[in-house]
Amino acid sequence: MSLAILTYILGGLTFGSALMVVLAPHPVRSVLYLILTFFFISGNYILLNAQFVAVVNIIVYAGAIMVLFLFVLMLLNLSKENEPKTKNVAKFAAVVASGILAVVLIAATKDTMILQSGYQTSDNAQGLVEGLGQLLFTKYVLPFEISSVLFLSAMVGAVLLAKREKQITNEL
Amino acid sequence: MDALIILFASGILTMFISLLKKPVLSLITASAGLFIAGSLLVLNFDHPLNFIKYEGLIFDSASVLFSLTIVVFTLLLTLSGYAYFSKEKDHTGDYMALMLFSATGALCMVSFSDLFMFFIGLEILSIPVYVLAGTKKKDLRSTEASIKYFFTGAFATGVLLFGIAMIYGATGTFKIAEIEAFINTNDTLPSFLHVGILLMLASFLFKVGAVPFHFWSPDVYEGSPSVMTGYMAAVVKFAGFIAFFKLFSVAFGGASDYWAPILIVVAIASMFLGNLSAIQQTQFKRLIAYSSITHVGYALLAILSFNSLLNVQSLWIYLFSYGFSIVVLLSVSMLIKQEDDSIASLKGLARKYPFIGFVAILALLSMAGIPPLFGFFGKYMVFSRAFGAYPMLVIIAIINSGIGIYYYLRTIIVMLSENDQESMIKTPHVLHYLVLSICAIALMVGGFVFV
Amino acid sequence: MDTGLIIEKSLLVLAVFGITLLIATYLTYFERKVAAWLQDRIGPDRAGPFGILQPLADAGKMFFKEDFIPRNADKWLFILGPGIAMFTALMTGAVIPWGPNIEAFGRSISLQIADINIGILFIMGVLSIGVYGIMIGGWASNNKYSLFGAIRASSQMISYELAMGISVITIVMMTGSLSLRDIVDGQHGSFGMGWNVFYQPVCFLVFFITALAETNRAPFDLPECESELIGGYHTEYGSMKLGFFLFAEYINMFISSAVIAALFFGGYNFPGMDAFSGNTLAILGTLAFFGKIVFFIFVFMWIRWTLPRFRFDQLMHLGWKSLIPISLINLLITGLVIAFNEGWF
Repeated sequence: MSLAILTYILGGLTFGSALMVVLAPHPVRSVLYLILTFFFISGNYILLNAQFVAVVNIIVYAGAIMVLFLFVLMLLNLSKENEPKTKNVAKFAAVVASGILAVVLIAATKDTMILQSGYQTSDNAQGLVEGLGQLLFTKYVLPFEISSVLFLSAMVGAVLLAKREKQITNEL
Repeated sequence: MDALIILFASGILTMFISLLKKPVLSLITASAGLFIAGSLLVLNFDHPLNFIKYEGLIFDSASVLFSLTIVVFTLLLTLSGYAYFSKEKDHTGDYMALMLFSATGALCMVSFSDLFMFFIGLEILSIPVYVLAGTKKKDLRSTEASIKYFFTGAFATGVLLFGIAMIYGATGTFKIAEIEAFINTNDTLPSFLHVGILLMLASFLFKVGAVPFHFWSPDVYEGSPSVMTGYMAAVVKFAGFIAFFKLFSVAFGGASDYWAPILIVVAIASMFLGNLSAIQQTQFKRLIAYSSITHVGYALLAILSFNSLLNVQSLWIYLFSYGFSIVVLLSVSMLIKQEDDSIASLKGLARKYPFIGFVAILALLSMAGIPPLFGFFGKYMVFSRAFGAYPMLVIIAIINSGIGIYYYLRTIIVMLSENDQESMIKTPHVLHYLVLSICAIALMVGGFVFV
Repeated sequence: MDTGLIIEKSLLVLAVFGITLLIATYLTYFERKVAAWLQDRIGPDRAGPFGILQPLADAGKMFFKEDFIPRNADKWLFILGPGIAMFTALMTGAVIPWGPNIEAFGRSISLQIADINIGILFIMGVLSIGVYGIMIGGWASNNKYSLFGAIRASSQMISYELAMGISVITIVMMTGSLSLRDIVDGQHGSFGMGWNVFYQPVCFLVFFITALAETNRAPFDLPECESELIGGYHTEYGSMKLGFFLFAEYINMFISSAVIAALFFGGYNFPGMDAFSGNTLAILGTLAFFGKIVFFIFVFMWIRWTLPRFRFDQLMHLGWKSLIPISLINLLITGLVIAFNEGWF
């Protein structure tokens, strides 16, 4: 039972910090709340006994990607004054559209069916490293390997876009 | 599967070859890879023993056909884009490698049997295109196109992922065959499934560039290098539509009462908006962008009226013929010297280079759907099949085809007219002639060979 | 839940916490003494015999200084920065196995707070968020030197984390487990000398260099280099908030030495350990572990007072163009050798 209470508390905290990402007045604070959200999501993973995913989530998202986010935001010196003005019509349309989406999403929960009753948390080893490794290198080896194409092309692309061209360096 | 591996391996090889800074070698490696992959696909074709299922991928005769189409278009675009790619000797191989990687993703996207494989395929397809759209670093419009495509595309991907999560939550599976069975066996479908379908629909309409989600496409088409515009219009759109078909017409076919009305509205809006905007365009690539929005409207008819993989052939013929026209028109657009590619700069094309002018006119006529050309057969098959279920929609589509003829003919007149000023056309590369001849043959006899 | 376990773990947490703080306090003294020794000086010798009360005097001074916050600083983040730095520094101690099990009160007490099966990844995770303390503190100060310090810290940490991660993976491949307890036990060898450093010297070297960088110690102390950036990220800090930053650095040094000792130098394994058993072994093992830690702390200080500081581009070159390729090649070779030993060829 205490696990259920913990789930609710964690869920509430996750939701709250995710909300603060949107509501925070300064972009840097938004990023900090986002980092907090990642921590709470990792907490949820641990409740599902997925320790490996939880810690990788922290290392990759909170520890690397968000650091780069902060890095860029700190250099940009954003503030309320030089923020581009949004037209009132656009604001109104955005409110209506997201309001409708919210209604649809909330309404969809009314006939939620439970396909599997409860998670097997305590004694299954699927979320642990061994189970995950077994699955990734046997059953799901093809998607796992193919995702390396994705990373390779993203890396090549990033280098291609960011690399300074030779002509420019000669001029300097 | 072997074609997939060959494509990826030749992409990596091309990158290493590009260290030699000899663009020709990169071209040879890349096109050899594409050629071998294509030949392997041809060998696999109609060979039931080779229909191997992998986790998430299934190579049946339909997916082999689609993969072959992708490989053919990528090969043609690589060849005709060589003149552009080789301008930067250091990066020729990188550009080609990225195109090969992207084609690998497109192959996954037409042969998936699992939602996550579809998602990985979509990402592998899109990310190199985001990059390649911005390769004209000195041109601000190219950078703008890249950024715009990336941001809107990433947002659409997020929506798509949200939709996939919803569908998984409702059905408990990622496999499209099981989702199809779930929809067909359950009488009352969970609302989460509906929300999931809605979100996926929105992001698909975005990816193929249908009206209300079309805003990105004219700017991106205009700013990107012509090769990439061609790639987006021919390959990305093809893969997107095949995946669209596999998911909506087949997997979610049982719930078509729910999503079909939305698609009808979108199809009508796309046809009219695309056509009416295309009439006003003065820029060649923007014209192609708007006309491609119209063509999305026609292709949506196919999504609406088909319900099994057996009759996907007419959608394939439609997209196949459209792809050839696109390859021709964008190859022509590569020849325009000017930075802004106004239609007026095509003046005198047919007089200066009669062969190129002839093929370009063929392509335009085929897009308009003039009878003996390949495009007519594609349109005819889609329309005739849709007529039974949606007669009104087909009539609207035919009216729109009529409107379309106006601006295609206008462009043809510009190409044919006498040029009294300095010509804006570059001297074509020999590879252009090769690509254009292949396309011309396909456009002329394709209708009789494939139908 | 077992009450005995709760009491045992709480005591252990308190003990690790206390020992870490105590050691960190005395490391300041130790550092000054080492520096004095290397520079042929005497060092602090006024407070108490041999100056042994000097850290306490320093701490008292820190506490009673004026605690101020710059007017243009982001107040909450300014306070949060040192807090995060301290918090993350203290968290890593939880997964380090400090010694073999002790038999007492009829139960076997593990000298490790939490033997989670992803122990080494936990350390990597906490390390990777440790940079936030510096970044937030540096940015919130609203001072360009602080901001430069923060940015240097973050890019340095991210660059060196990669090489560090790859060398950790090499060790994990050797052991076949991510749990630190398993990694340490796996180094027992035939007489307590099966240490990983003998099998993986390159990996150790890479890990050691990256550990220097991750703790922002010289020659990688660019985030706070006083000749360019005044005080770097803690330019605007004073009083105990500054104390927290300085403290966190010493704790990090202590923990890094512990991790190096555990990963490469056999942890609590020592030669001839098979002659002992039970609590004697536990106590001797723990002492051996702490001996190794103190040795590495000394090496850290030795390096700080002998080597000149890197330039920033040299730092990036070293990280991306030397350490990462070296550790990758090392990883590949290790993988091949393991596959060969398992008879895959």
